[in-house]
Amino acid sequence: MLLVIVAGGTIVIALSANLPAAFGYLPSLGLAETGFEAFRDLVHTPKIGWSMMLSLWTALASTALSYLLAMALLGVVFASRQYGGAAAVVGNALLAVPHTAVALAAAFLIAPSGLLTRLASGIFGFDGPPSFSAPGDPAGFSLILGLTLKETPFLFVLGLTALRSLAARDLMDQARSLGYSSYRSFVLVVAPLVHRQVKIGTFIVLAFGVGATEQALILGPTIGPPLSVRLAEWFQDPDLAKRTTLAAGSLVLVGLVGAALLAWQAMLWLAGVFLRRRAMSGQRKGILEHGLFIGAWTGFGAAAFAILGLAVLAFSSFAGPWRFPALLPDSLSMSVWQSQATLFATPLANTIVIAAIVSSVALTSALLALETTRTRPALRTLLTILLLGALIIPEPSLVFGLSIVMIALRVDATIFAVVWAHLLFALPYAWLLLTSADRAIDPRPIFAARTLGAGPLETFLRIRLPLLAPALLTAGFLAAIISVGLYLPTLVAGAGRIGTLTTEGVAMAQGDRRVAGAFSLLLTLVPLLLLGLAAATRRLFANSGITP
Amino acid sequence: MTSAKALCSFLSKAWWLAGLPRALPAALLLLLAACADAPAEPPLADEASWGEVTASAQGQTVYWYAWGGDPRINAYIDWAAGEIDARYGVELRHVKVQDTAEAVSRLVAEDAAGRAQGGSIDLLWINGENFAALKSAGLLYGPFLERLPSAAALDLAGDPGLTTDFAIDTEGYEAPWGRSYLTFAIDTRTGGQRPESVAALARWARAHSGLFTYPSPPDFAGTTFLKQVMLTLAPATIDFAQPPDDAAFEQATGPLFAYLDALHPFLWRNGRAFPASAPAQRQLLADGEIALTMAFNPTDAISAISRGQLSPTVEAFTLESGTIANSHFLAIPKNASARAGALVVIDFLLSAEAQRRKADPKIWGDGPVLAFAGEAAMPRDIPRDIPLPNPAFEEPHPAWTERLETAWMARYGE
Amino acid sequence: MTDTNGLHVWRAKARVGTRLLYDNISFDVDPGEILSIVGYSGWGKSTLLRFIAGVLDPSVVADGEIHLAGRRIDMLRPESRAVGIVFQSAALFPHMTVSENLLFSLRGKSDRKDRLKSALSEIGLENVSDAYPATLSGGEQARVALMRALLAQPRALLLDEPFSSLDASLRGEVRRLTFDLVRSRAIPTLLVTHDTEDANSAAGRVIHLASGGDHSVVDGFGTVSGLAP
Repeated sequence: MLLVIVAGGTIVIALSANLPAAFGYLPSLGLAETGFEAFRDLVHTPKIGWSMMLSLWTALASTALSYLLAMALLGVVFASRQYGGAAAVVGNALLAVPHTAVALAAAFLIAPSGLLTRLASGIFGFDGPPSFSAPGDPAGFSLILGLTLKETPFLFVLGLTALRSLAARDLMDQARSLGYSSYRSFVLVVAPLVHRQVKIGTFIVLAFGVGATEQALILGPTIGPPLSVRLAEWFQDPDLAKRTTLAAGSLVLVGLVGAALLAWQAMLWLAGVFLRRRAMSGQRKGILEHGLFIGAWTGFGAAAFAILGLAVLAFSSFAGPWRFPALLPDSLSMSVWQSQATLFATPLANTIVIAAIVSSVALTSALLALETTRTRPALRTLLTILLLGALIIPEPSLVFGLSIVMIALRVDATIFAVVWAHLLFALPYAWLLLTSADRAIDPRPIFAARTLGAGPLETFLRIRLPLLAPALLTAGFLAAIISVGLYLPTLVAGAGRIGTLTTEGVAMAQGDRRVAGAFSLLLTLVPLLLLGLAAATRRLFANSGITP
Repeated sequence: MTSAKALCSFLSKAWWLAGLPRALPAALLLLLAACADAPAEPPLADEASWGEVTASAQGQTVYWYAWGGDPRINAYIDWAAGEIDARYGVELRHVKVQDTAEAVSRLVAEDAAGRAQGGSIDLLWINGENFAALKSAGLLYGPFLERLPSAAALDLAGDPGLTTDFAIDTEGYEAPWGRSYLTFAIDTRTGGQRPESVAALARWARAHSGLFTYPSPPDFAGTTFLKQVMLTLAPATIDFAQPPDDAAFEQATGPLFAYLDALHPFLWRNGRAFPASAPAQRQLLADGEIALTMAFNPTDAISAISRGQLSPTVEAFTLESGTIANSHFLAIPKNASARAGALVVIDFLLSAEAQRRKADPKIWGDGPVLAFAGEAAMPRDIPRDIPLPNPAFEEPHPAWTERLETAWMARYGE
Repeated sequence: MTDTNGLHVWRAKARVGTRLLYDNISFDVDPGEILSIVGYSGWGKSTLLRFIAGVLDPSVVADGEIHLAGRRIDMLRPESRAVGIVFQSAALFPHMTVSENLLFSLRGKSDRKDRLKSALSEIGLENVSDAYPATLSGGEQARVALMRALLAQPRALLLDEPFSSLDASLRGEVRRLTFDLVRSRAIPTLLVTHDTEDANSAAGRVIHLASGGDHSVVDGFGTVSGLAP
């Protein structure tokens, strides 16, 4: 009960802490003059309208793009009838790699002196790097690319899970026997059903995109940046009045998510009308199947792009001078790993310790909440809504709001603060995973145990806990993986004092690509290792007869 | 008091393992409250002897907020942390900030929140406008400089660079740590002949369109570049040691902005985007996207060549039309939690050993603040190609820096 | 072969891993005829139908020749075979109404509204045309599934236990409607069931399958016709 209040309360408090601050009341910083000054300051910030539009546009475009790619990939994989397993492995792996690493990798590929133009120069024979503005183009295309690379695997993996729970195969076979090709069947029959289950995932992606910070720092424009970057700047402004502007901006960001959701719903509605009309026309051929084909190959390309980028970036940490247009560095060198090794040790250790704490606390809390709400379904629903809320509210709005609370409690810049902030984002996933696993448990053995005279604690320990164990493990690893990738919550709650691979990676990446490569390699390896451990333990359980 | 502290430190290590899970959230809340109220170190008496300082520093953790954008400097700080831990039992943690203004913001916030003790910052790498802001707000501890044993070796009376920071008297509220000057580096393979003056730089940029840029102010190196151009082009009548009035500012920056207006179309990305920092710009040079970069450190390029980031065709140089030089400092916030520890750290950083290592171009190559006794004390193998500052400009008053950054942002940044 | 417009399956066999499901099944179905295959559960009836329709699970290794309307179709994609199939589960598209399920299947651009109307009246479901499948009774679902299969104008129809999930009271009525509709289309129809009563009311030839130890063998009264080897 208390736990539910703490977990849910944090989200409510974090968000609502922005409210008084936005109207100038911030007693913990000695500001008590209420009024609309913060909003006035916000509105008068040069190019603020552009920043807001940029946040909206990049979020909507990347969500739409990653959704199309993910659906197309699902279609092709599903139609193939056999590559589902392999695709799930690749999808999960890309999903586990933190946004920071993917953004750094994308930046290295698309820059005018990046690997892609180097390839092109070899083919077309120009020897100076071309002049174009990427990454950091004013309209945010690089940022859209970076977000899409990360969100496509998320939606793809969600879609795979949805497909498993649907009788999709029969429906597809049915449509094919009616004369529809596999791709067209997928688009018209299976995709709408997958959509029903993945829709909430697209909302999460959209909200995340509106608040995306580390990708925006790496890939977004530096002049006229998205609103999230402005918020981060105000947070670090020595002029404390900017903290109220920050609070106002955080609320505006929530509003932007609302606007984005409306626009997204409208887009979905239009797409729905279009697809329904195609389906009702009875035509067995059209552009849909070609679209699916193109989308899927674009999706494969995006995955290859991300993997190539990560590999090349990791390789660059072993490189000597590597000037345009050379495809390979002049020489290899271990100097980064030798001279900087100790600099990686602390962030790596911090990352692992924090991930371990976050994971265990998230698990314990989720499990306790599960048991305490077992007889209180209304409370459980409330908790689910609150925790899902944390995923649909943009990250900066929550984090900066939470920081107001932390400063008032004087707990910021501690490891507790970082863990607390991380839980905000790790707990919802752990909770969702556990509740869905719990729903899937056959209640009969538990009734049987109770009728055989086992007490509630014994039933829980001997029957329910072993049945939940695989899901618990998965949830634990998931929470750890999420914790490893969090940038803004770590930076703000830790006040920079708690450096993890993401915060140090972003801070140090700009100076030397090889250092960026080293951080990116570590940032990629840690979650992949966790993922591998998760898979190994699942197998262990599968062998022991308990399946997740 | 001690027991509360011990409890906190115990719990901070093991609280997630301990106790009944059901009590966890309650324990968490209690703990947060308890640790928030746990009183910090008893403040170190101002008249404490150095022996007392080192004694109370023992076991302290010093959070040092220092710019973390250069891996070499980070490695040096990491070395110092190891030495200090071994010798004094003080744990030094480098908090890598991207801009010292972040730390200023934090101190101002803590002050507004009434956090007069137990602050989160113990030590700052600072100079210029950030120092001026904190000192005038009364947020720095001091004067402390003369308490440091190492300070005896500083020529404080004879060398104004050690006691003046951007034309402001430091009054012992910060300790000089190093000094440096603005240096350029050119990749001769694509950039050809180096420009020798501010005017020649503009001509070079025109001839090598897209191959030059400068770090986006308020980045330190970028702002310094602006100041150097301003000082070179401004009329000689302006007194830069005083805060500017509007007329003086107009007069001094008129030629600068005319120069930049003409220069920008020929910059990297046509002057519509700028690299975030000098190291970021160095990476652009390494990639071959530009041919000319700058750093506030004469050994930056040479060391990058030796580390294999830059190719050997890169040469470092300074402009003969004048080079801006300044000192950078270490300061302790008034509400530092580990004041004694911070003093010990500074004292070590000013020692001949630490200064010598810092001056080594292979390590960092930052100018020492100690008057080393003759050449012999300096690293023997300074490469000959390290450029020296030509007729040096003094840093203007920090008010210039602030107005210049604001004006630049208004003109080019939005 | 008796009729060039018929469905003709020769030497079908299927295996999952090392387990043989059925072996050497051959038969003919003439246009307008309803051939019933009656067997014990687990002999692989769904596999046989999926093999004919071309929608087998990749884990099943199946073999055999299929000819339809004079064309060999076992190498064709399912959408090109013109073989309609009605699954036991009805497999109605849950996101489409009754009308939409039918329109999805209805071929041709002209008179779509009128043809939909008459299809609905043929199965007597005009009053639930805008209902979603989840709200329909089992009998209604079965009728929609059948009509949906027929509207695609298949050259052969496969029925996989279409009546087994229905109440006994409904079963007779749905059976009658099904057989009437199928006969009026004059296409070869294969009915697979475990219920001999289904086979009896189909009033066509019947193949009884018996277990041959580890796999199915053709049993009964020599109704496996045509194609002497």
